[in-house]
Amino acid sequence: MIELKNVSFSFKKEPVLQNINLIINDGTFVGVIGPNGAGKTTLIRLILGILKPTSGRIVRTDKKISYVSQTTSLNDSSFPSNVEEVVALGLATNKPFLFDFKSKKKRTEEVLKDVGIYDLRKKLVSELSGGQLQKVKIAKALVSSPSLVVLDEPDAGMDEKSHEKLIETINLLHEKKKITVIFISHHMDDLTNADHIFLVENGKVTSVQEGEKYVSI
Amino acid sequence: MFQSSIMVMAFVVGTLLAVAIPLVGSTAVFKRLSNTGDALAHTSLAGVAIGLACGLNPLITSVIACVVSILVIELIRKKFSKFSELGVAVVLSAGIGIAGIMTSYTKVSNFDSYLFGSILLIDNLELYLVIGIFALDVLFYVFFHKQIFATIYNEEEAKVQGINTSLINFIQSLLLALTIALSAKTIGSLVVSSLIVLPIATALQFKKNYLVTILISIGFSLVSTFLGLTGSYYLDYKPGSTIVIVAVIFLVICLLINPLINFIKTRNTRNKKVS
Repeated sequence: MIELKNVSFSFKKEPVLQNINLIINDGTFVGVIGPNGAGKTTLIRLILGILKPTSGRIVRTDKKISYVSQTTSLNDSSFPSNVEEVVALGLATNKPFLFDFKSKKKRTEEVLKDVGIYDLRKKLVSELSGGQLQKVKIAKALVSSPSLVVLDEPDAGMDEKSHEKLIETINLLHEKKKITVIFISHHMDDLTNADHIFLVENGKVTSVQEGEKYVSI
Repeated sequence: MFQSSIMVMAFVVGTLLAVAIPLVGSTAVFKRLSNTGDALAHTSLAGVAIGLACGLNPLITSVIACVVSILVIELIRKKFSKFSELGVAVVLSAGIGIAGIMTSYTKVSNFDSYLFGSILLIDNLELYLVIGIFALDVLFYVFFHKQIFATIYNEEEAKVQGINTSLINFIQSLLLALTIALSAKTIGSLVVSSLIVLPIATALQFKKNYLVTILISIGFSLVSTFLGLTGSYYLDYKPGSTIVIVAVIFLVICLLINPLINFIKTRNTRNKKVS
């Protein structure tokens, strides 16, 4: 469960988010929408603990968290690594990575199959299309069997077909594994399966009621 | 050649550093901070000059200078995250400046041996220090290669999944600084930074995965060191410089051969499709 109590965040004394109160229950699918620069990513970074709130309190009970960040990795275009290696990175913690090779390899292969990129496992990430790369990032996020997955516009730069498949994959995984999903998107259509949708606008977070329309910008 | 105990010692030290340097250098290259090695090499020279001028052990002052420099680079990198190369440029300039001024107070012959190295004149203390840094580098990279890789690949995602990225970055930087400082006497300050970049650059031409690329780079580093030392023995050249020239030759060969192999592969694939 995640709870934000009167959370505010300012950057260089400029308020970005003000007095946010929200609760995200375990196993729910939460969509976050809002115009560019409204503070969606800031809200997510606060929830993940990357940023500290200027005031207020954040309670988070999830232990295993995965994050698919919006920023394309610096190394995607030229880094010498294949799909299997990158996905297995999701299993790394603070413990030395020397033992239990077999079970880690098995788990990686399972996720590669779940996400539908098993055939690409030996391909270098620099040779993948935008859609394939996003799938690799999703697989990397899921390989550790997390209880919370945060996806920050994972569909950025994708063509329509890849985008549809990605949404289908996320919905299917949420239904099958009952993982809490927080999904930042520009498209309301992506969030048809969401239990709750939050709109971030003018430093405030409001809940979008069922049936209410939000026009993406 | 191996009847001489000096050459045996040179090969032992050369082998240890040929493994350690690309190992620590690879992270700097993958983080697009290849110039860090260059900056540290120059500050190690400044450290040596300070040591010689003040009558202190130049190896110790070189290590201190390198550690201080990497901390300054990291500090500036955090302060100006969008201009990460700024810290490298500042430290490199300061290193050259201090080294230049301090050499006025040292004997030129002493200082010269640190410019191009003196792998043939290694004493026991230097050998033990090289063994120590080799062991630290190898242990750290064997046990924590996934954490290192995850931090290089996407630091924010690695932090969220529970990796202490600040600690990983700090240990990496410290090991890089120590390895360069200790290599300055053996291989030479001016050539050690080349050995950080060249084997990795050569290995990248093979377009393999992360682990294999690191292993190929260590392979090239070892072969360059062995051929360089052998060449320097028979041709009476400076060992550090000869090693670097061999490494450059390998890179040039790979750069020339690779497009040719790709052309042949593409033509074969096209022919198969047509038939």
